[in-house]
Amino acid sequence: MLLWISIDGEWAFLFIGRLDFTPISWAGSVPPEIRLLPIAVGCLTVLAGGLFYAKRKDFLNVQQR
Amino acid sequence: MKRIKTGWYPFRSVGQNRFAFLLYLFLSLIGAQILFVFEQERTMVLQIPPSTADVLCQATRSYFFRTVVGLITVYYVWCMTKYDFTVPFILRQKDKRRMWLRQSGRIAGVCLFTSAYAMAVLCIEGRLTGMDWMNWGDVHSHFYLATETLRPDIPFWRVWLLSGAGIFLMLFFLCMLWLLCRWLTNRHIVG
Repeated sequence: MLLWISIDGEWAFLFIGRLDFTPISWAGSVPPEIRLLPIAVGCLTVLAGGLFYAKRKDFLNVQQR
Repeated sequence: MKRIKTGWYPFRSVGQNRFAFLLYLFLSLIGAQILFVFEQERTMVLQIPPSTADVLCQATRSYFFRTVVGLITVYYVWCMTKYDFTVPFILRQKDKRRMWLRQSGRIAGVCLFTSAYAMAVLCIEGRLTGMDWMNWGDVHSHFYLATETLRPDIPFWRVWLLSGAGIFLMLFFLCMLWLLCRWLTNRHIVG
């Protein structure tokens, strides 16, 4: 929960850049599509990180409930 | 004897989590409804009805909308993956990496559905609130009030696609981060 609130709130600027597409972002000469690049890279990084970790994951030590 | 449910996995998963799915649809709708009320209020203050594109831009800015839609999506993903770390499920998997990719694919499907559903609701509400799909080339528009420029060259589908992609990527990133935390710690950090 804390993780969610931190990322969705103001800290998002630090992690994944600005995701709000205000009219001002559309008025400039720079296309607002560029703002999606940091979060797209973030998604791929998490996906690749999980894939890398999955190979080493040891389920034998997980305590089942 | 407990009946074994058959069928394609995503639909079977929805069937097993009917309550969570209905709650997910309902709260996503509530998030969009609150945005609708906010836009109505703005229309009364500014005396200019927004276009559908303005409503879509507002949705990507609205903290409340993102929080409601985001939290309920994470909750639904949690319900979908709650049996994924049990012994019978793990023993059935051929490969751990394949298991990760399969979970990621399911999360991508849920996030895609959520963004498409949210965009459809927002488009309907945008049409109900305003008069046009796009009026950024008009002087009497929210866009002109905010920027004092006119952009008649921007098509509506571009705003729609970008807003949808923004919502999808935000949800996908957060759900994947949650899943990664679950793999790393074997615990539910969120939920």
